[in-house]
Amino acid sequence: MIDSFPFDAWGDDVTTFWTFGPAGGAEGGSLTGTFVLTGLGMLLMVASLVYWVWLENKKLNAQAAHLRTAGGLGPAAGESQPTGQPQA
Amino acid sequence: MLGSISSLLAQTVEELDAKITLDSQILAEQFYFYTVVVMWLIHVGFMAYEAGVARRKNIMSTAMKNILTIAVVTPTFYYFGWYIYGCFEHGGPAQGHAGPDPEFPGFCGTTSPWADQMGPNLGDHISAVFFLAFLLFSWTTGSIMSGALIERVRLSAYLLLTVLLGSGVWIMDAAWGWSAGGWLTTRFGFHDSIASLVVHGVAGAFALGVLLNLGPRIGKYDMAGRARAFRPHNTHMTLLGLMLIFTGFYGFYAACLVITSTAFPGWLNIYLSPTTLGSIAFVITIGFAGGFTGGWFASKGDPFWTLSGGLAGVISVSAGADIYHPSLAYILAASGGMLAVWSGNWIERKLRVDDAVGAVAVHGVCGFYGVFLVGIFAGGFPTGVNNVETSFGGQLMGMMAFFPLAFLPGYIASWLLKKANLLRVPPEVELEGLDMAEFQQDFFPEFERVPEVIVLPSGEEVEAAPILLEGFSQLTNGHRPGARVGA
Repeated sequence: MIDSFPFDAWGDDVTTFWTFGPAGGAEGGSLTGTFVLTGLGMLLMVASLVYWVWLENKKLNAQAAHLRTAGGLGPAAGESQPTGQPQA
Repeated sequence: MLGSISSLLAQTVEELDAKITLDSQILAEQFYFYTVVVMWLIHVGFMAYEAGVARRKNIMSTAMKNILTIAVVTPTFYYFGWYIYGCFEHGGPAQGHAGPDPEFPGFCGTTSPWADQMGPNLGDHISAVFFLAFLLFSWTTGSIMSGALIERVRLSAYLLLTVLLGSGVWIMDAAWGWSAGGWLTTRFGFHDSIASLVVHGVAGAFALGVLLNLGPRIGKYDMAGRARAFRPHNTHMTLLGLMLIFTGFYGFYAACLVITSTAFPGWLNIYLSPTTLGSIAFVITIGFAGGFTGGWFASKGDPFWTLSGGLAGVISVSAGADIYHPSLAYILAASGGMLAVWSGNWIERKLRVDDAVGAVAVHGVCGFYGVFLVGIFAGGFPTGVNNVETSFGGQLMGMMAFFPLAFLPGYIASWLLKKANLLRVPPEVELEGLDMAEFQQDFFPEFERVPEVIVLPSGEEVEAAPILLEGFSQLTNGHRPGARVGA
């Protein structure tokens, strides 16, 4: 019967699972775990932004150097091959 | 006997009350969830719109900016953007911002990334979806700026700037003037119910600051300073994108209202003043009609500006969408559509700022215009829980607060990136097209690329790239080698 569905009891069990929360409320949960996950997420956020800048800078400089020296168009040496037709 | 019946009834009423409250909360949860789904179309639309405007050599780099906006704004908004909205209503951090107080956390205490409300929580059906609706607004600010910068900005520079705009600047102005407790609301009755200024105007002002440092695309202006037109590679895609944005705007409009029937008597705007969903639906629909009309006549039938006029028209009436009569909205939206065309042409030709999609005119100018109009046509309206009367002076106060709040961070951050040589792609790469450098491939492999040509006074056609590169080198004091580009 739906009326006997033990939602509250199961809910109490669920909320103490460490990734579920509430993080540090009166019901328990893992505040330390939440802080660690938050810290790791922030680390990924910052690292990805830095890596985006570094990787694009490398790509653009390589392509610009290639264009200056070769005078032609197309991917820089060492990069993956184009799938399309190079610019005339 | 009577006592036990009374006790039973009280218990039944209490249970019913709990169930109705839960139902109401779950309905609100569903409502905001689906506004988020509809608002995704705004970003689908921005991607198609900007990719259509781009020349074929820059299509994928343009589209990737819109997609990666989601990748950077989502985590940054989660980790600090939402906290700014919750805790900076008075200009600085509010009390209790350090963490949630189990007794009475207040809104500020619910917005830190480790708060109970910012994760799965069986007792909270509202916070997560409310956060998501605001997150979609944040993506929108990034997408507004995105189109203005295409075809020469570095992807990584754009991503850094959009983090600043989407997770910092706009949400700070929302805390100040787009919340029930913001200082502009409670002290000045500032009224911008569907975010003319706090989303569109601020994103436009930020974009203007960036454009001044970024500079125009190579070849946009000739040696006499006259603007040249870069034709979109696919106008149909651009118009389809705009139509998708318009569809998503209905979700945007709906998400700007507050509804939980057991907590409030009916629909409320963001300041918790009463309104209805029908009122704003009237205004957005007739706003598009007026905007298309104004854009069509001001541009003498140009397709791009006609549709952009529709967007400008809606933005012009959004600030007062909860209280305008449809006829007033129609007239004002038509004026906004015209204003966008005129200001867009002025920015391009007189100010010589190369805004590839007219974002500064459509979103920036019309965003400020919308708040200005509320000061004229809705003065005296009791705004917010304190019923502070909206006034022309209060609206001006908001405009004066938000322009520097948006423009200066955009200008300063882009200036710093420019000094670090991280703002703009190298000119050789720009002339070749960003897609080859970023992705090492041409996204239309079946079609030959036709190099741009310049017609000399003698009538001879020559390849444009070497001339444009030489011109750019001269303009930048020869810092760039004048190597020949192109076969």
